[in-house]
Amino acid sequence: MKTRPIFSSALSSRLIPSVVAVLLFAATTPSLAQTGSISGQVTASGDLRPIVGAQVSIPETGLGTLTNSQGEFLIVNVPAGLQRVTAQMIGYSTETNEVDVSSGATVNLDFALNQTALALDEIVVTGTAGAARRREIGNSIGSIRSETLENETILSAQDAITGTVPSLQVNMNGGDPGAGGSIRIRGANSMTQGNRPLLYVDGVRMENDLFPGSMSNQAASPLDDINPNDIERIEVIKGASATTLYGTEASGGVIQIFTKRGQAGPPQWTAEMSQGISHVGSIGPGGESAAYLEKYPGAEDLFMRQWLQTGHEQDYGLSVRGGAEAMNYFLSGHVSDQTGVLPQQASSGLSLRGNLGFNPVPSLTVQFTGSASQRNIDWIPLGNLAKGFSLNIMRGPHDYVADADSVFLTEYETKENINHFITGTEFRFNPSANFNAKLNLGLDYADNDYNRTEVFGSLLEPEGIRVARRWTSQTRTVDLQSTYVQTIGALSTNTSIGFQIFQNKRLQVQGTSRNFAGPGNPTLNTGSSQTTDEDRLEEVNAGLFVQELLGLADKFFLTLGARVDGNSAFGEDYGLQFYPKASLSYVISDESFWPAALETSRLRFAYGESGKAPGYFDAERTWNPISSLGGLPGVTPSTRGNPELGPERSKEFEGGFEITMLQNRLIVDASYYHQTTDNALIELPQDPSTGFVSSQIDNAGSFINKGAELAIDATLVSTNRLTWGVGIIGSTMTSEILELGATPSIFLGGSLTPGMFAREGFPLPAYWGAKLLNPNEVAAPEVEEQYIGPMYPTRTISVSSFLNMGRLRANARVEHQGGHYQLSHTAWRNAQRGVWPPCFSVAEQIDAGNLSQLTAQERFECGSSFIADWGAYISPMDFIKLRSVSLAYDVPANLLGGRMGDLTLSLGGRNLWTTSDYVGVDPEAVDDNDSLTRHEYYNMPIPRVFTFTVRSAF
Amino acid sequence: MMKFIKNNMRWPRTAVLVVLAGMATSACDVVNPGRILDADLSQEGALRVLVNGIGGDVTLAYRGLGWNLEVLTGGLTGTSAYDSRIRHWRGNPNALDAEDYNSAWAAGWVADQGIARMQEVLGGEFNNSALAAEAYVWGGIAYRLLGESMCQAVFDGGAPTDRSEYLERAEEYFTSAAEIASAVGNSSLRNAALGGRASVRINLGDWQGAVADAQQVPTAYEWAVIMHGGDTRERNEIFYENQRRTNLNVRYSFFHSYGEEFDDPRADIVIPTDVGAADGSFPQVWHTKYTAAGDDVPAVKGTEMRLIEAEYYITQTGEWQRGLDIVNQLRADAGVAPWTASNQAEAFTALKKERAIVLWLEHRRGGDLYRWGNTAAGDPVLAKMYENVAQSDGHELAIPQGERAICLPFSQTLVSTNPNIS
Repeated sequence: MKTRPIFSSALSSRLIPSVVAVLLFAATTPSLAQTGSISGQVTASGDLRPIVGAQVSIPETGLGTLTNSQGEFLIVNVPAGLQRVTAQMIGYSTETNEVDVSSGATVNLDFALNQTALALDEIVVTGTAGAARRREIGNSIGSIRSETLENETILSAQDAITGTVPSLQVNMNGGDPGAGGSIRIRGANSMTQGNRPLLYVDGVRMENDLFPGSMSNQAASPLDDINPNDIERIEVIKGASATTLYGTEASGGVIQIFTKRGQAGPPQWTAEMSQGISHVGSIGPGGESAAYLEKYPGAEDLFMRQWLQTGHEQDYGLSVRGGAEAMNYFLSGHVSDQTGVLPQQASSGLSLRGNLGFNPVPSLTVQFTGSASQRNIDWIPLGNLAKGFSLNIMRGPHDYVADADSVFLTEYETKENINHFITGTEFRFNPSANFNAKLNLGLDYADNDYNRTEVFGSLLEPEGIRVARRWTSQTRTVDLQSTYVQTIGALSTNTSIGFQIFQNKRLQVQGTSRNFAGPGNPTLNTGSSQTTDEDRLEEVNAGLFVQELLGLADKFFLTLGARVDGNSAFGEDYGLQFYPKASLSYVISDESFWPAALETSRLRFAYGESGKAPGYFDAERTWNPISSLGGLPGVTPSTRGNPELGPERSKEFEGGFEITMLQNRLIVDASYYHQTTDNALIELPQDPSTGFVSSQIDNAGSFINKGAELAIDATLVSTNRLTWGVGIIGSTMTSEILELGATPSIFLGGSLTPGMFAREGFPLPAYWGAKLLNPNEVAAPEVEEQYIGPMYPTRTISVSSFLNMGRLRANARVEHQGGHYQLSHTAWRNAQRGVWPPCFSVAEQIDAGNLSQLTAQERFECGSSFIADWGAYISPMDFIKLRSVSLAYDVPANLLGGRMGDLTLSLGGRNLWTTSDYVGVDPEAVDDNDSLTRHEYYNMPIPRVFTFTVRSAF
Repeated sequence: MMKFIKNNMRWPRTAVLVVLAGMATSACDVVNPGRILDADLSQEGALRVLVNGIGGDVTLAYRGLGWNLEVLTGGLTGTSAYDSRIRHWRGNPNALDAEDYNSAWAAGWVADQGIARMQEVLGGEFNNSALAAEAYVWGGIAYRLLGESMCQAVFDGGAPTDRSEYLERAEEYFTSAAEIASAVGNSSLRNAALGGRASVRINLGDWQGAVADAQQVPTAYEWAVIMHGGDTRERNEIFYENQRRTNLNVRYSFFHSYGEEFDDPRADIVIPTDVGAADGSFPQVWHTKYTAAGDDVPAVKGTEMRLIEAEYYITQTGEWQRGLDIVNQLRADAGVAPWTASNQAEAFTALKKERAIVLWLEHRRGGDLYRWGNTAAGDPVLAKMYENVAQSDGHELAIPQGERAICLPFSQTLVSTNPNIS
């Protein structure tokens, strides 16, 4: 094995100022030995399709490249002599071959990789210090591979992670163009600090919360600013057992997106055009009765049929990737335009990406990634809003504006403009085969410009209202890691240390203006009454970690690690946090006693801790500045404060196994996890007689989440002409609140959002509602409160299937979520008003003065004038959705005369079919965006989308 | 590994670790702007905003508790979720538990703490500060609202006590306000203090003290809780929910029929033809008491003082005709026909109606109803509300009995967070 000096004495002296300088300027003298080249092709064994983007490398020299669109590669400047060349591609087995390189000559070397979902030598970088092979890692890692992204109908980055990884639950909250969804991994493990996982793009932490809400009661997601066509793969780590090295804030899991990189070779262009339509067939239970129309002659359709339209979607993209010996590039551009299923709903976007990599010296790789995106969204007022379009239509004659529902389209304008920049530079220093270091510097900058206008002379606000809001988020990443690898006989050690700083700054400035001077196109200056609000918040999280990975005979791996963390939101009396981790991975199939039928088998166990920091001001006693006494400055109590406040701490144990059988045709990956969150940050209501009306955060709670995960990949048929496979992903999740401090029952709703509680001994969060005691009695309902069920799914199942027949490829994915409940305010509040179709007959009886002749059940469900109880409308949300269908055809080159490169035509569909007994409009539709509690309140269902795509690679 | 480190990274490693530790420590030292730290308020320059804040929290308490009080005492009818009767009378423990409702208790605490902080900062100057008098006035109004509305009192997380302690705290604050206002020669603050104390004393049974205070306040005088149309926190909710969102309605209340019978500018109504209530029902009946979201809500006014005097004569001295004359003088001033009465009971009924009209939508009915026994038989406003309930075939509402009928309970939040309350 050839080695080079690790540090020269001159280099050592340059380490003093900072590690950054080390990584930037620590160049070692490149070898001047005689060299040759290696070229070849990487294909999939079986159908021999070229594998694009496979990594081909010579580990001992640090040389490597990626295959082009034909699966071809070329490595130049290879030292003459015998070289071990490795070809790797996620989803395929890793293959290593030896080749003798002659000086000045090019030697050919081809690889045929076996497709597998269990690639133990696949390199994983999320959740582990440095890069590690999957076989070395003791926790489960979800991988979403390029095949999935290319073959399914993916309309957004959120779509890319929907239904593809066990326990990764993604729900679209509303059918509005531009609306973001909810993302949770292994349920809710925080009551107050959010449950969205951390998001990384190419090592750069990005904003993971939804943008501030809109008048549609939906919010856009920063995740959707990433062009899904730019994504190479996605890694998902799920809980504290895997996220320890991310420290505070990581207990909700981590999702890391890797975008495409360039490769050596001539430019490879890909052009793509997609056209699509979206529509909602119908909303609600239907069944408006003749009696209803007789009672309200000329009444509008309750469920908006006269307003629903077919939406149009169009996307255009162009990308190029290529490179030379010491540099590579990937550039892409993408524009999109979308109209919604209701008038005036629209979203358009533009995104640009440039990923550049180069090697200034052989031991240093610099990778720059940058993206800029812009989205413009037109919202209309929907959801829980007195001025809501859907609320007023669906309430029929019992609304705020009688027959004037169209005013919400003509008198309201809501626009959101999003600019999002994510940029990072990674310096990877590989001075020898034993030592490597990596420095990642990143900036995520999101700018959200939102404004809405209720015009002068509008029906409900005749004086007019203008709201303008500017919200920005900057997240800076400094991530430094170094690893030293040593092998002593069968024993290998992999020692890593690292340091990370994440700084997030948020700014929100909002102005509201009322009482316009007159009609026209207003700004904030137009109104005579103006109020402003400004928030500037900064949070810093910094931590050091160390990890030791011990390997024995390349089949037994023990990892021990720890992170020490500080966070600006910790209370004054709170010190640094220590998060330990340990994991064990045992490739038992490498043992001689293991049955050959169980081809590749691995056992893994992991334990780890991570946390979530409290909010910016939770530790301090503060007062809020307010406008008082008609606009004069005043103060009012804000937070009581708690100087001992610290992060909530999640501890997770995970165990599992992976097995392949039948010549790699059947792959089973199973896990069990048990997660405990201690010192959970609870919003404890305050005694209002002590002055503080707002809840105070306290480390007072304890929860558990536990469940099982199963992923099965089965290749049912595999021939040179046809490959047919099925994938099943399933998970169960049970949560329980063990302790809530001094308040064992916390009401999570308000007077308008009943039934939602956190209570000891029950899931977090859960619904309670009235149970009817005398359903058949002709009398007023007698009820008692009872536990109904959890708000989050207790089980998810996703079944996918692919069929490859030469040039024709078909894919489908069906997803089920179940075991959870939701209150449909749409149904309940319409029932109260006598305009819920299943209640029409009862409403007629009440109108006729026959209330006293109705049974308790009828009154419980359908009693108008606010007798109907919400408990009757908390219903199971179990659903099955056909998430994705696609059919793609590679047009033969001879039909194109060689003028269009590789042409692929595809038909796709998304959310095409849903079955559910849920009583409301859609089992995924929710109000209040991404809050802990969920309820539906006149939200729009998720539309079906059909697309036709033409993709050309040339 | 260790050998490698020893050979190659000994002192650079130390330097790097020192740098990193320093970066970690300093990087986490962040101060965010916007909020005001508690200690920063204990300076003389901050006292103006502190007193403004006390007044601002009284505004919030009026805003949050006000519309509930009107709906529960017959001043307005609520539509949909704003019908507090539906939830409160049916015993829903969360019926009156919104943050705005809880702000009534917070307003009292804020006044207590603000006054104590001012005493500490100003020292001997406190008793010669108009700001102190103003703080006392706002504190008195906050505790009067609680004392007139709540079934029991609780202070600063302590044990429940009799509701009269709220009124006694209000009387104490108004007394201090009057003394300081007199000392600094601020007649407006003095009138507010005396008028406020008079209104409290009638509910404490101190009629002679009340009348003595009331007689010092001119009929035209008014001290108001300040509203601001441009700020949701300070918005006049009685206007906004009646004439904008239409969740509060005058329909079917005593004032609906009164407005149709009398052309009284103090309780006038308008019935628009093109606007329905929030639930789509018609008519939506508007009041004209507040015509903008920034209209202030009177808290102390001379016309109430005259009614205190009138009630004193009718109920305490037996001079019911003298009392009725005072009532009718107010009506004459408003250009409205007088009430007639032939005996003390009829004069008392006339007084009840007049107080309801004069103080309509000012959130004061709780004290009156508690003082009068809160029975429909003796109160025309309640009688109309109960008649409406009986006619509303869908409501199935039982007229509440016991304390729930005559005063408001602790909020569910207060019950669940105060260990002294069972």
